[in-house]
Amino acid sequence: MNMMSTPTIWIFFPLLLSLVLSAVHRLHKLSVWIACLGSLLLSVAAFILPQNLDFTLGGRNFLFDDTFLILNRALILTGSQLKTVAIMYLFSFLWNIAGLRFSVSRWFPTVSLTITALWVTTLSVEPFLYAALIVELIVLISILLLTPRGEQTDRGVMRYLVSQTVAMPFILLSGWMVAGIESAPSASTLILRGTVMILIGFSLWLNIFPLHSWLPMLAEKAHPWVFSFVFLMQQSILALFLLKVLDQFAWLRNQTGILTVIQWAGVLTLLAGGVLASLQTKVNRILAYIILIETGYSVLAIGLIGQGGGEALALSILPRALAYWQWAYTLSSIQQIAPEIDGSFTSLRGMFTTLPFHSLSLVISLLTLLGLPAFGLFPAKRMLWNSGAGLAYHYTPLIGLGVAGMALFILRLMHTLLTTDPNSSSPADSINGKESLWQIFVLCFMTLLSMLMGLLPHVFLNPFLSLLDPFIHLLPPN
Amino acid sequence: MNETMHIIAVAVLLLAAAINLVRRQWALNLLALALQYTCIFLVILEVRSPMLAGIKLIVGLMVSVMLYMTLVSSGLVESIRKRRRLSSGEVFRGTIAILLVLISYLVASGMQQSVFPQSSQILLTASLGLVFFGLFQMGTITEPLYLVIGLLTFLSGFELLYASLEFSRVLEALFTAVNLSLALVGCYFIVKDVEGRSE
Repeated sequence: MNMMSTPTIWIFFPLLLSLVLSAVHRLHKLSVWIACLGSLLLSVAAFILPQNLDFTLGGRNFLFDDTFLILNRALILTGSQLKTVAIMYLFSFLWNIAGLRFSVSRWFPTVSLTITALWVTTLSVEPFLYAALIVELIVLISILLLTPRGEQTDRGVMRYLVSQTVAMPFILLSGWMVAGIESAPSASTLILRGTVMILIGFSLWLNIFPLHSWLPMLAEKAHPWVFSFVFLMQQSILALFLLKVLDQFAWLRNQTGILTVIQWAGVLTLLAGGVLASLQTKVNRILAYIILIETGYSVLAIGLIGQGGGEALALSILPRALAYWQWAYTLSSIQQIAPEIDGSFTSLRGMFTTLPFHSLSLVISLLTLLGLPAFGLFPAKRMLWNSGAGLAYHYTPLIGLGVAGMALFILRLMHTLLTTDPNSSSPADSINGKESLWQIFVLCFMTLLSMLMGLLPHVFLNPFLSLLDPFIHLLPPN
Repeated sequence: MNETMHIIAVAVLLLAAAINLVRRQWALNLLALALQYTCIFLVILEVRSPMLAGIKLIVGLMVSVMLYMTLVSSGLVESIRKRRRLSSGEVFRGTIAILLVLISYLVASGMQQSVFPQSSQILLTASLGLVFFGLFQMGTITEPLYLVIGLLTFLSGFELLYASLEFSRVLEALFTAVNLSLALVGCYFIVKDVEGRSE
């Protein structure tokens, strides 16, 4: 067995590192730095390793194997998947480097690295539907981060656990049910059953409307930093995993109407997210609706795979992550400066006068997620809006309504942040802490980065189109 | 193992699951959970070698012991011999349990013919029964320990079904990891709730 295999480096090494981290988790700074350094190294290594896995350094040639055999099954991480791996470890690095500033669990570095390695495993395990059990393991591990100690277990986390556990059998059974079915006629009952099971499984995993009820409950209780990391990873990888399922199962992608069903699921999810967001009065819960809307866009992109949806999905992964990062960073930072602010609109009233950069950052990260021109997500969303409108006219008003709902929330938030109530005092009026220069720098840097990505997408975003390289059946290379 | 023994094992299995659904007495529930795993071992012998079936038994007993030890250390276990009158909720859940057993039995024969021809009807009745009991428990209960017991019941039902369909060592290992992790999450919930109450 070649020990220099890609699964050894990007799955077993980080898992080993997390074991080491669990031993030193009490030394919080040390474990954060080890996790940061490990994630960054793994991300850079995945970026620079050529697709043929043949690497020359200092005159020596290293040829990496892409397969690791385990109990008669294989973990296969090809060169074309390494960009995805690099992105995942980049997320782990970004969330660990700033996580040190916030009062998140001491286990965050350990668990985040484990989760990242397990997400890589989901993309590499063969038969790939076994990934259902790995997703379940990730969910169980995430629970430790999502529910802080010292508080009663709330219903959100329990519903999350139930919904993700129920999804697993659907995915596993669908794989068994349609094994070797390629030769059967496409209208057979088995194919229909398999399709329905896969769609139900993914709907539960991706919390597609109306299966999202636990998401806002969880967002309200969990730390925004942890919540954003867990669900960014889940959303990004499961979208790519759905692409993989469509790519690998010809019977599924050739099923009549499957893409239309996926498009409708995406449109309705983003519509529900937008409309429900417009009614919210707590910023903590908004992250849940943001995730719902972005899941809607991802699913719509997959449904529009033949009309440029794949490109939109690839272009959106990094700017979306940075927008989540900025929103979660700003919110966590506000909670740290002024613990008396509980996230409700009443407590945020007039905050612009005391925390102007944080207030602006909240609004800017939401505008990025809305898809405002000149921000990072605009190129991807513009593609989806155009493709959706070009395909069917009835999508446009529904997507427009979803966008309008989110825009309405942003306007309400701006009004709350800018105005004060002369009759009653708000916690934001009496904030003792101040914005540090470092915090201002971070918030301005993220805003600038988002704008650069929006203004120069060919420089910052086009390299991410290679995330689609592994899906050769779904998106044949030209 | 002959058919009569199989039927007895399935009957005891469903009875144990029904006790977990109906009664709210933690020591009794964990005893029923351990009994449930012992019966799963007996039923799964139909499709697995004793060695492989034994893994499920050991994991199940470990899960039950882990939960029991956590309850004991948190001071939450009440005596198993403590008598309590049946509440109206328990009568309702008992009726549902009888219905679920009937539904599993009736659905199993249809499913065996149309979907799972390689699984025996007894095994299907057991697995569907566990899945239904688990789902009902998960859907109606908000107390973490019972939720975890519901999840474990649901998973055991599915494992039983899947064991009759496909064999893979990786899958067995992953199921073991999931069961143990779920038990750990259950222990975490119990400890967390005790801490939350005392603060």
